[in-house]
Amino acid sequence: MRALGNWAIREWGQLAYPTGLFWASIVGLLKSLTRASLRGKEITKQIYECAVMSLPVIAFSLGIVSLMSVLEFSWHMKVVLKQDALVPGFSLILTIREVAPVVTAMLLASRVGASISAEMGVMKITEQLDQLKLLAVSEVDYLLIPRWIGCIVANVTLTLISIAIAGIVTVFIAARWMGYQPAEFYNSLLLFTTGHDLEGALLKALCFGTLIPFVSASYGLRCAQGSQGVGDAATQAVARSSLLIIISDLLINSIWWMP
Amino acid sequence: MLELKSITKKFANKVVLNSVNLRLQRSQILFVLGRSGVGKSVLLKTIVGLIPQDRGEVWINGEKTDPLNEEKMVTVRQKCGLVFQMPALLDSLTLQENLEFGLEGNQKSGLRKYLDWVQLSEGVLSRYPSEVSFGTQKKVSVVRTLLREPQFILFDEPTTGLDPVSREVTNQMIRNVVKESETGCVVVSHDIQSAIELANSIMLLDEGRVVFEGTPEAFRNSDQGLIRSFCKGMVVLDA
Repeated sequence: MRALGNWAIREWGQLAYPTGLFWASIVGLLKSLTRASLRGKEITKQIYECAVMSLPVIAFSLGIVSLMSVLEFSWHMKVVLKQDALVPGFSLILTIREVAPVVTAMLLASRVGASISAEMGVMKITEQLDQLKLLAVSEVDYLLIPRWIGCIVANVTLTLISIAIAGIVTVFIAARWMGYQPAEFYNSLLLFTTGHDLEGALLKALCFGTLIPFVSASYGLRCAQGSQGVGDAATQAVARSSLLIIISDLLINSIWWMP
Repeated sequence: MLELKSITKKFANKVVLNSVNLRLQRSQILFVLGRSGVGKSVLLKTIVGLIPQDRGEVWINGEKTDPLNEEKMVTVRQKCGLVFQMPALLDSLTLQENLEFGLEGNQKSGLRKYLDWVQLSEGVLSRYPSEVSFGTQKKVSVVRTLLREPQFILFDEPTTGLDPVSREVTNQMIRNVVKESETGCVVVSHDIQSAIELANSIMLLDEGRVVFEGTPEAFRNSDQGLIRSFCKGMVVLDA
């Protein structure tokens, strides 16, 4: 029991720091907005780094995942029900609700999260963070807020692009190998999918886009000395971000879609 | 005046600074010497509140600092600049942007003078830190601190990693800082030659304690074993 208690306290401590950074960033963002002092150039750079540079890998991965899910669904449905008319619709609703937001966020966590953590880790061990303090510049304003905005914009945009790619792939597979017309696919899509599903996907994208920079930054800002410290921080950032994405996905599902 | 009263700092069970006292007037140069790992850099970071002390007080111009109050420390850090051992330039900014980062308009006026002091041409300022040598980065980090015109400057091993020419330029720059702007300087260093040449007083730290404090002359004439080793240009290795 004691070990379990210690583990719980340790884990809570791990969450408390990024939570503190989040609230500090909210305050910092409000101050920046009132003073019109948001760092537009840096935010644009972060959006480019997070969204544009991640697009090829995310588009490719989502295309493959959609293709595989349609073919797998179709094979199983034919075995059990001897027909696969509903497969495109099923497949796409799964993509909108789960695959697009979660896979996009996971890939973003491994690419952008690791980068944020390593960058801040190097800044810590080379005393750049101390230098920011000496210059009376808040690390939250200078480093975190641009990356937060960049991650949110990237995650929301890439989730929408992922859904579009999944839709195109599904239509293509349905027409090429399953013998359905695009209009039939569109009808089955309308049968299963509502605006509520898309809103849920966007809510997830917002939530995951917030989780990734704060969790990653929390490991970078507390990283131990040396190259091993930076490596450990990047590893922990990706592992913890991924875990928290899965847990928050479950929570959002249970709130948003459960009766 | 910069004054430290009984500063004590522990990391885990190791006492790094043990009741260290220090007094420095403006226009004075104090060299802090000691073997690697005796807490010289920690001492500097304690003064500007980057590492809060466990016990003791830091006073600057008659005002006691509060390292746990970041807002109050902003004023302290305006009065007291720190030049890190590593250049600590922001990688994503050019050298020019690094120099101007966080500066107010009127603080940029001394740029040409300070660049002359460290013998750095303006042409190099359009480059990024990764595109210039370590020595140039170090010079830029010094100019960045000078531009803010602090009353006290803390140098953490300013000549480490520099060639002999750059070392002499750095020493001359410290002389200029003290002479022209009446700034007080605390210089943490292993460079005994520079200490003898520049310092008004020398402090030797060992195992967290001040084991010597006096003039360069007294330091050179001391018969303490550790001081003799320093004067021979040899550092006694840690056990």
